[in-house]
Amino acid sequence: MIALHSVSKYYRHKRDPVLDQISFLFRPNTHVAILGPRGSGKTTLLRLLCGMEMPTSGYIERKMSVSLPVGYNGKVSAKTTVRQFLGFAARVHSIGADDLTAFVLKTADLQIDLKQPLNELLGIERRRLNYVLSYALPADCYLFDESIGPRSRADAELFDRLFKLRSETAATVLATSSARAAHSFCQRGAELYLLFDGQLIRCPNVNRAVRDLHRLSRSFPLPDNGDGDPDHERPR
Amino acid sequence: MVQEALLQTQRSLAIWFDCIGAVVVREAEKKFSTKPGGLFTAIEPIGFIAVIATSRILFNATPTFGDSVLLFYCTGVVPHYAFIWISTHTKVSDLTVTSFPRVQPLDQIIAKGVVEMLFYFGFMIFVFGGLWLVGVSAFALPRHPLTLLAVVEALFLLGLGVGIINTVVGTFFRLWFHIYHVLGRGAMILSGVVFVPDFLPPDVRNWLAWNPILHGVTWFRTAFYEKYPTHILDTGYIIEWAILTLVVGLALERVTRHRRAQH
Repeated sequence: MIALHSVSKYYRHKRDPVLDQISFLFRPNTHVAILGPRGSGKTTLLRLLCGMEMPTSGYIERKMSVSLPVGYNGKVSAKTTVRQFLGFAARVHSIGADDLTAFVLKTADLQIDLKQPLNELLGIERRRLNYVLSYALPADCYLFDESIGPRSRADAELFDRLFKLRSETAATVLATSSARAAHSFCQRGAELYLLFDGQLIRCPNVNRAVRDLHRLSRSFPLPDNGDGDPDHERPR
Repeated sequence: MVQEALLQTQRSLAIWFDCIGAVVVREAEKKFSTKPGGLFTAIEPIGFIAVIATSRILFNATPTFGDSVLLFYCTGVVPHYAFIWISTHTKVSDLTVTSFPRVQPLDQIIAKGVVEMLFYFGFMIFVFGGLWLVGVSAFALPRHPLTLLAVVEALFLLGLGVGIINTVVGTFFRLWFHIYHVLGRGAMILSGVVFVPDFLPPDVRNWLAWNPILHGVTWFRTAFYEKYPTHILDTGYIIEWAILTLVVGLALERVTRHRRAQH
């Protein structure tokens, strides 16, 4: 269970809150889609859920283990080798370092030198590694942030397979700006929430939600107005 | 119900130990795998000892206390560095470690302390074992190993407290670490490394007694020398300082955690 008790988040350079007094209860083994336009604070919300950041006010009660936002490219200090990084990740999560390393490399289909510094990997290798790593680490709830989604078709296939695999056994939160992605996720039994203007609103109907969002924010496209498919956000 | 709670606690503790273990391994890897590496840091105090001892021996001076100039300076510089190392190395800034939210800032501080402590004990064995093997002094092996353990613990706790405060201050004021490096080494003059505090005139001595590390150094020497003068020594004082700095440091760390995250 994760409970947010009137959580607000401010950033120094912004006057308005990114999240404004959000209260929200997230039960185990449920799926939640969070739909919101770009820059609405979806990524911030996920970072708060997994504990990477702390709320400015309010508090978060966390009674299940939460993964990092899947595929999140955490910064690592220079000279950290692939072996050290994976070993550290394994030990922190109480699993065998060798098992994890073998699993990640096999699933991500990577042929890399383990003594190589992580920062020197190619972008695509690093992304695949991080993506598979986030899924390999055990958690009760997996966070999926579309802004760090796949960049190529081969990636998309792998990511999709892992996402489906994990969402069968664990709770998932999908943050997306794509109405199509939210729609297909809701058809598999996810609850839909809208994130707009710092507010998180439960919304029973996807089409209705999309129309509302479009009315509120001109930048948010209607799904049938020809905005191309996977409209992933650009990396920040 | 009670059983459930106990089980939960047990699980949390297991996770916590795993986290600390992971950071300990990580810190040790970092300390010993990089090229200049952790061993390089040991050269600094040894160099210090060499410089002061050589200059004294060249001028043909008699030892300030005991039978060996070298041992006297070693028993001053070594405890001083117990404090210096831990208080400059407590930086909580390893990006690899902080990228996993399961690891809390306090875990990193504890892990860092453990690694530094292990390294320090190795260093101490190296220095005093070496002096004993060479046979420079009859006092090179500690008479009271338990006292030695106690004073090193006290210095470590003090160093940890100051180190946490340094981490907080250093985040907002980048220059601080450089200033502290200089201050820390300069403080060696004030902490009784090169003199016996009890042999000083009372006016000076009473002022110097405010420095907790001076008590640490004096206490450290009592573990080696049977008759080291200890009128000035107040073992409680250094522990009070340790507790005070730890409380202030941990409170500061918690209060500024938000703002440091944005820096």
